[in-house]
Amino acid sequence: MGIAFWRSALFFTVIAVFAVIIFPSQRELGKLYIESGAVGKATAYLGPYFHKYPHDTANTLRYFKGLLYFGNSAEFLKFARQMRDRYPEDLAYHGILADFYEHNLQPQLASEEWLAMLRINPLQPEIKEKLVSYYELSKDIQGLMRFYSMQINQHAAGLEDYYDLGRLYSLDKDPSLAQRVYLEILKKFPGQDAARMRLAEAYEFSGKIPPAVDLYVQLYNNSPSNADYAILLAEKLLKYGREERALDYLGRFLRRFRQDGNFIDNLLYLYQAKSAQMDYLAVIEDFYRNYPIDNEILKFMAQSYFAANEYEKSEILLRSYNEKTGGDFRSHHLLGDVYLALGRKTAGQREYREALRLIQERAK
Amino acid sequence: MRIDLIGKLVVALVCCPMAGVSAQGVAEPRTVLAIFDSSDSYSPSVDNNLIHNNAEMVLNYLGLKVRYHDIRQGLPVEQEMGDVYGVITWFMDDALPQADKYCLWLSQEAKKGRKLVILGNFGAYRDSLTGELVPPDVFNGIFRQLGLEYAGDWSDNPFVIEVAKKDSRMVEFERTLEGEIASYERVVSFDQRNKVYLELNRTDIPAGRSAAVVIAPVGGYAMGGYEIFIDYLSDKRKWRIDPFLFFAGAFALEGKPRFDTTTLFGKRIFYSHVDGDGLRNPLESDRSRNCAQALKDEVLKKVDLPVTVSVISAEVDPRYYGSEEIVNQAREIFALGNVEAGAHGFTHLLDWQRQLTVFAIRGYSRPIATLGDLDILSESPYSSAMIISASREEMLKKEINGAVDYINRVLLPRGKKVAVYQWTGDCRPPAEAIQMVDDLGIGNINGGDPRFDPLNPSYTGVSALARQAGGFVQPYTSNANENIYTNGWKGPFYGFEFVIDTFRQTEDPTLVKSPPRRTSPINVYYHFYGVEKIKSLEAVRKVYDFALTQEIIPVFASEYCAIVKGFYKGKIFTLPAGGWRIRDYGACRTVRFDDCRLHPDLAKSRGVIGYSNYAGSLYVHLDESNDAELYLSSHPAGRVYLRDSEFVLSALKMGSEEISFTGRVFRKSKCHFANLRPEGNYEVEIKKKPSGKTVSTGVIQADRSGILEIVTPKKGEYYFQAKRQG
Repeated sequence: MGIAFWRSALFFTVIAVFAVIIFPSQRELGKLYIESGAVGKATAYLGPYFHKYPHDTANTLRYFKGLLYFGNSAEFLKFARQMRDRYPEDLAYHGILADFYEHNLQPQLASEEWLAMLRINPLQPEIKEKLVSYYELSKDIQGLMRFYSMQINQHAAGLEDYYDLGRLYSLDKDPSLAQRVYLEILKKFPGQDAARMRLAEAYEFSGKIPPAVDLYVQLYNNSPSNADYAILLAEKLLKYGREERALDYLGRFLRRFRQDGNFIDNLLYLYQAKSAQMDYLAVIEDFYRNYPIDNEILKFMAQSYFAANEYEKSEILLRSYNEKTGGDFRSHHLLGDVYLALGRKTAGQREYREALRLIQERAK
Repeated sequence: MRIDLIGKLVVALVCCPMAGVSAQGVAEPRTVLAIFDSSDSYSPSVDNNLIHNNAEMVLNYLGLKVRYHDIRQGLPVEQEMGDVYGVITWFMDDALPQADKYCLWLSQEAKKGRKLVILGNFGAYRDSLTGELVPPDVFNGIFRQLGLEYAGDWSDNPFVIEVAKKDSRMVEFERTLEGEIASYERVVSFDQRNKVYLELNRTDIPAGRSAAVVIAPVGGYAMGGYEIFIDYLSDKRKWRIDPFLFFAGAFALEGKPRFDTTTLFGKRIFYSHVDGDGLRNPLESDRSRNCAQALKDEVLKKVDLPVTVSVISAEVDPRYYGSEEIVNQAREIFALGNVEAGAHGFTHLLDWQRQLTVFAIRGYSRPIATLGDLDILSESPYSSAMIISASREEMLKKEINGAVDYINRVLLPRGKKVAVYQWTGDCRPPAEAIQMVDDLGIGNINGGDPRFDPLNPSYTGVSALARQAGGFVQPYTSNANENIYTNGWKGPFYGFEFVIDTFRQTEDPTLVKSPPRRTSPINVYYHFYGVEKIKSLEAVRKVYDFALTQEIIPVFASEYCAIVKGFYKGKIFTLPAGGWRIRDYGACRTVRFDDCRLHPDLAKSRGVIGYSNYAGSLYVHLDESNDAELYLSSHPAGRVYLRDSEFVLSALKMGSEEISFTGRVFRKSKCHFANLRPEGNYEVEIKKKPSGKTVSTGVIQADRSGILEIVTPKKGEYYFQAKRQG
């Protein structure tokens, strides 16, 4: 009758053996409660367990979450800082402190934790974005420079980071550090023409003109259809007295960009400022003889003659241009200037009126 | 004799209209036309562009209204320009469609006498459709109006750009220029009258000086990169120019009266409103109670301030998600004397454009069901929303008229009606929705969510007064709500207490180099769920407690909406004798003069009941007549006037012997009258309104300077009378 002794003994033994699994520990209870949203109850278990086993990061973080939930900031800060200092390589403690500071409108303290996190693991784009933003907004330029340098040393910097660092050094008017950065970019990303240009600017500022000019030549040669690079090269060649090379390139530019009125205008602006402009005119005239159908060149030449006070030549060219193309705002306006310079006021006014009519017509 | 009579008649006929004109004065237009380019990623729409997000708040503060025009829609037509005082442009790039036409139009507008303010990129150097460059003579037609000549020579090489001259007060307002001189264009200032506040120099070209920030007789110019700093990662911004100084100078606003929406009777406006979300949520501290009960018992009954409370009707109505118990709880809230009723939609629309909402209602809204639904949701930030299957017309009718009607019929006590519609979700209702609310004769509010605190340390975080859609006005809230401060209700739940930082910064900023300046009212704005957590409830109470320590005048949200409406409707005329006629201001009963040492000439003015000063500004209180004449004088007023009041008073009559008025108070409050007999005794009688039952009598004495302080009883509406003794 009844249950045999051995059966009941077996039952209680099994219960004793599996008790650990059947009855949850403080840790598990805390976890269950906090995950179910019963933060108050959870804290009662998480706290004592934390004090016994602070190295259990998962439990500790749950405990901290509980403290924050109830706004227990002082206790949270005390323990979180202790844990961060004890385990400085653990991202979690920096992270929870950073969030706390950020939510409590203390961005500077948050930035220190973000920086520490990126020191440990430099590849955290969201944290990096927050830190860079903080430095930018608070204008901590030195901090930003140090951070980018750190990222470069950690091999975690992207191309944009290099550019940002180079820009900061340039804004700080430190050409040697800027040069280092741009040279580094070109070493890693040889196709980066933007870096080539920035490097050239830094060289120019340091007075290293030959390597700067070489870079501008490279830029143009790498992208010969890029009108901006062409203008830049022309500008630098003229600025640094490379007249012969400038003349050489002028022919090339005209061949490539002869249809581009804006380019021709810009080029003219550069070349006509030079004393040797008649040499350039000779190149242009020669070019026109080979390409007589390019009417824009007529205007270009007319402008050059006008700048050289050769008004009659300018008039002939402009009239020819207007006959061939019907004229535009600029050609009539310039012809007006020419007539005025020749003392032919009425004719000048007529051309200005025509220029105005054309521009108004275009605006309709 | 007969001839004389005819002569007199002729004179009378001719002079009458003239007299009318002179009495009315010359209208002072207050509208600034803001030109933006919706193809610019920073300015995609009327309510999201550089001017609206940054400059409009300042222009509003200076008394100006802003109307937007997307240049992608073509040039403004003549009829659009009638009331325009000035034009402001702010572009990020250099190209516009038909750029030359735009240049000619803008130049013509400046020639007509309209002010012209160019911020950032001028925007019309190139035609974006053809790629053609605009001839310099054409775009310089505009620059020349400003006494400037644009000469190009653009550079972004920091090594060759330097500051030649700067006026820090103007050009380093929220951020210094040190180490940030990154771009250059050559702009030559040739008009001697121009004030150049920032001059750059390009060292690698001859004559490299360039005027980067200029105020000219006809407007102003601030070169791109020197008007504002933008952190493109966080989209946070900081002013470089002092926009208050710059716009006041460029639009020539010095000495002019400005309608003010922050202050009433000399005190900072306070209002509070609660959105209906989470009304049924059980409380963390006691799950047998819900947020409706907690809001009523822990907040509304305990805080002696007016609060506008809204509900989502489907959450209350027993036919949908509510119950009779919830209905009763809502009724109890709306029965409270300090509660005004608001509506927060039928199902709480989330996305007004794509018709997405919170609650599923059979035959009206449903969960995602088709691939088409998936497409709609994927374009919206509300990925788990319900899709409204009803037509747009039906949707608006249900969400606005239906919701308001339900609350009026079922939840409100006799004599109370819904006074405000509190926009839901993205708070971007179409024009017809705002019109529907206007047609109901009630106010509307929400959107904006301004912040000015250590995480957003700039006036760029303070939003404009309102969003506008199709000519209808949607007032923005004056502060952000607890959802924002708690990271979308993820915690920390005490976060709402940080709204106090914005209250402080918008009156006495410490995070930027600015003198004290009251730019916003105090607005305590949260949701029902804001009282759900122990800490969030504490934060709400802390915020109210802070507000109660301030010198405020509490009003309901609908009254604030009416003040904003008054700001937009108000008109100002300059009178020949040097004063101003101010009309149609409705509830916007404060005009402000900044940097003003003058006083209202009360003997000469009409409809002016008093004035006070704060931070160098003169705040003038207008009466309820909606039509006032104001003259200023260098001498202090000689008549009795209202200096300030912590409560809304009306039917005010003032004389040196007797003062009477009615007042509505939510707590013991004070008001002050000036120019009474120094140390004179006044017999004060306070009667309950409307019963006329006397609640208090006594004798009070004016102080040595003739200021009489009247203190009210705790709550209610009263008649006040103060008579001089002896």
